Amino acid sequence: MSRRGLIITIIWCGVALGAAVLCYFFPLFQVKPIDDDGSVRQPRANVSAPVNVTDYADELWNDRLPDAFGNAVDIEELFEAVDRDAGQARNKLARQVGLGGACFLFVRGSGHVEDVAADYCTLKIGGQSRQVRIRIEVVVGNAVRDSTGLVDVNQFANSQDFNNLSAQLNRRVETHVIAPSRESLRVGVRVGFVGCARVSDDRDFDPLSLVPVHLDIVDPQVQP
Amino acid sequence: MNQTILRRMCPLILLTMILLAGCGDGSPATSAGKPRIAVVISTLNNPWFVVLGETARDRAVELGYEATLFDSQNDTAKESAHFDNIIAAGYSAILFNPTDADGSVANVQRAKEAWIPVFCIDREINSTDAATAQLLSDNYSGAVALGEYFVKQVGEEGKYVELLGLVGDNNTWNRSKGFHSVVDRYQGLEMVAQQSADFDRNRALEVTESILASHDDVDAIFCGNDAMAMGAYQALLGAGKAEQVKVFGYDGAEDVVKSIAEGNIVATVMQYPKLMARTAAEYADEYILNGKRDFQQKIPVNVDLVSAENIDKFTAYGKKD
Repeated sequence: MSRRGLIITIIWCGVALGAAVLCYFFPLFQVKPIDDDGSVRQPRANVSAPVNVTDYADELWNDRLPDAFGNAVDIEELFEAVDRDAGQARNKLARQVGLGGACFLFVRGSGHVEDVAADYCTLKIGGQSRQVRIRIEVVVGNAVRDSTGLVDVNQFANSQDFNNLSAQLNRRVETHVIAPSRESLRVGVRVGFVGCARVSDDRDFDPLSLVPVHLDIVDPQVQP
Repeated sequence: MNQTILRRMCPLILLTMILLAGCGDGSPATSAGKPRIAVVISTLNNPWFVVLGETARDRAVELGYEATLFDSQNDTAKESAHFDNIIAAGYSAILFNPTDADGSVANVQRAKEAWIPVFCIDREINSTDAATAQLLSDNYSGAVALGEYFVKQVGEEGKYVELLGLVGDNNTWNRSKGFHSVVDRYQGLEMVAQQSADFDRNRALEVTESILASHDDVDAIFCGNDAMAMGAYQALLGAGKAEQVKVFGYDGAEDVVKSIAEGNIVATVMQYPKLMARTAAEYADEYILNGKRDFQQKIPVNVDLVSAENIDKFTAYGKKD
């Protein structure tokens, strides 16, 4: 290449570099995905329809929740797993909602009533040393909503609705589960249960406090 | 021959370089070469939000970004102006603490349309398709725990006052409803006044003074945040009733944690602003750097009840260690 040619090439390269730098900060065009109708596709997002909380709670309580009873963890399996390694039991059998904090358990089983207090009754579970406490008074918190895995927070545009769902489910527990069973829960009675628990640390496994979503008084006449 | 080919190729190479350089993603870097992250905070007039904003900014800087902190001063118009500037300046992401659950949605939507991801922290917007993700304290659960402790401390009978935060903020109502989901079950507990003090200490001082003038038999005050708890406590001190009336806050701010340790404020709920802020910055980094898009829309963040019984485990804005 001649000297003149080299200079021309260097000039061209300089111009190209300058243009490239200019275009980086002031792009001539941008590449964006286009939908079938030719419009620019908006960034992907989780779109959800507004939720009628009462209808949602009814459908959950009457249909999906009973269908999920079979998915609940067996209480004896849980206690045995906790005896082996409480941390692993939590990781394997409980649900974590969001960042940090408590986990939630959906459990089923049966046991004999050992004690009845004002707001809970205590159950002896087979040969287990750990006990279960069934809530039989006012129910608060999010255990029922969060333990089953049936409710997705992303379906709720407004967290007030999401929390209202907890309140509605708790009312159903009080009305449909606790109230009809309350009088039958006496010492010695055998009780089948499906329930929800919030576990903050390992101490919460004994006794394990459950909000019942189903109670089955197996033999109410039996007394100790 | 080679010289001729080179000369003819030069314009072609030039054109290709220009075209490739022009294929921008709409988020140019700064002159320093670093992409920029905006941190927009509802108000920096409250120490809790200062911690939230500064932690988000500092974590973004640690991750290699140029970060700028904007103060909306609890004003949706100012917040909107910030978004205008941020969008025009081509920031790469926004870490956002909204002023209003409904009123802030439009701002987030505009950023989204400009292809700028928005990560909400602490406060919610009423939308599931505008923000990229929302990291939100589980205020309802925290207020339930506080409500249960309130009943233990005050008893099942008594008169109390509630100071609400900003009425347009979902946190205000999640805290109030969580608290009432417990306390309202006890018929002997009577709420004699419920007023908003806008999450503001001075406003809480004024409101409490006004309430005490007409209710001299109050047993407790539940405040929707710690700034209001400090304002209420100050009013009680002025009225000579600090020993008689139990004050409950919410946030885990430095002065209230100290006050609980000294036996003045009874309890608060620890939120974790540093955890939320750092996580939001890291999410933005994953979005920008790794192309991650499948964020969960609403992510509840755990909160903890703090009282004299466990105060040794906590420090301002978080746990010890």
